[in-house]
Amino acid sequence: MTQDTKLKIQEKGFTMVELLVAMSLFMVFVVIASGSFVRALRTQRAVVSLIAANDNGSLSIEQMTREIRTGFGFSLTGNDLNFTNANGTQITYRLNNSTNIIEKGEEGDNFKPITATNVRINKLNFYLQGQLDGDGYPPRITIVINISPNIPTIKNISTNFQTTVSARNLDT
Amino acid sequence: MIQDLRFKIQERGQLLIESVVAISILIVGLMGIFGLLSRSLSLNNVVSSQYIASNLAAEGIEITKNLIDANIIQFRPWNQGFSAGSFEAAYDSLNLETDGNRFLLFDSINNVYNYQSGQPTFFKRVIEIDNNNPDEIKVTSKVNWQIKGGSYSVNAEDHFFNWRGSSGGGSGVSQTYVNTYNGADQGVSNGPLTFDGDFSTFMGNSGGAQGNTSIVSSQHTFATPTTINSIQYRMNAGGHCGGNYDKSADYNMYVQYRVAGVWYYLPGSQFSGGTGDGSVSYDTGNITYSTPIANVTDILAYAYGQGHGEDRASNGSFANIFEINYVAR
Repeated sequence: MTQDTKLKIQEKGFTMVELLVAMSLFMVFVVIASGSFVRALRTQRAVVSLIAANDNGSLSIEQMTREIRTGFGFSLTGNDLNFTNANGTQITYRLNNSTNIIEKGEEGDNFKPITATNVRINKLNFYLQGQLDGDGYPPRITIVINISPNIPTIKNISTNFQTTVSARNLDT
Repeated sequence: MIQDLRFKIQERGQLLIESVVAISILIVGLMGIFGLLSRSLSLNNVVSSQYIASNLAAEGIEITKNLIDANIIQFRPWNQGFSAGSFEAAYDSLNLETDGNRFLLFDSINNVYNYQSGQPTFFKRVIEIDNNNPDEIKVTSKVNWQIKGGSYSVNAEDHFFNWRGSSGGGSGVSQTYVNTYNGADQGVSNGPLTFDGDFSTFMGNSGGAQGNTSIVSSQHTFATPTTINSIQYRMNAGGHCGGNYDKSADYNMYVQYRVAGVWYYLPGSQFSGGTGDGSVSYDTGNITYSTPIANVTDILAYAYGQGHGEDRASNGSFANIFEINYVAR
């Protein structure tokens, strides 16, 4: 605390009371201010990680839907989606249950993450319809993601994204 | 904290008042900043629901597309089941239902938004169909919701066109219909074959009660070489004869396609037979051939039936094509 005060000769200094009052006022203010700053930092961190969760969720859904739309030969193994993409590559999308990250594999191997480590994918479900020949419907794939930020304090704030894609390659 | 305070001797206590004023101004300013932060937290909630809503709106469009393609696969008019109005559909719906103004439910066990089970969400989805033009379906998928006193909506719009060439109402694959017969009776032509997958409709025939040969054929020529995903057909033909001399009758049916000027038989589509005495007829039943064939320029269905007997009064023959449909890729 810097005080730029100009005192006159007659005043010898502050009284004790004045000093006490000034200091306690200052302390109160500092406590309030620093508390608020700490809270603000936490809020900021939460906001950033929530935004990351939204972005990761929507980006991974976008990536999967784009590939599924032009793919064919869909099947499920457990909760993993397998299909052949427009390049003729066998693709698998799955949730890695130990890292809570969505992974994409090519030819049943070479699994690479498509979501970031600062978000947690709690659930990834695929629902498949019309994938069989002769069922009269084109393949219809529904993707549902439950995603939350990877910060312990706000882990329980989760968002459920769902979308459906109809494959453009018609079967019968 | 810098305090630039000047006070005079006579004004004691001025420091306290001034600092109280200064601090409260600072606090008000800081409160504004912190308020902004907590508002950004609640705005994040709005943003997040907008992400969810846009995905749900896209789902509405995709379900519609799926149902249109199902019409194609099942050889129905491309826009069957799409009348103008407001509808609802869940991720697993096999047709559009009239809009019931329902909230989507979220089933946290199966992890899916639907209308059957789970907790209500604050999202409502309505799929609006506009089909003023028979060759176009305009789909608007709207997701509406209200949170924290604000009402929001996400609208997705798509236009689907009848680019595969069959038009609404079940008529319109342009067919060349040939109906020849050889006898005194009239052959009956029911006009161009239609693309409707409805085998019960009698499409075209040729018959001759006193004649001895019935032929019906239907050819469709594509404007450009086309990949055919599947072909569906049903035909029947036969003949009958009486009299004293040759009593044989026979039939012959097939489906052909032309690639680069050469006609090929569609595998499994050739049916022929005959008998030395009496009558013969054959009905192919409903057959769907669903192996893609590339660069097809024409499709032809042909049915022929004949009674050979010399006693024309007791001879008869018939040939019918009930259906010849195709799905182009």
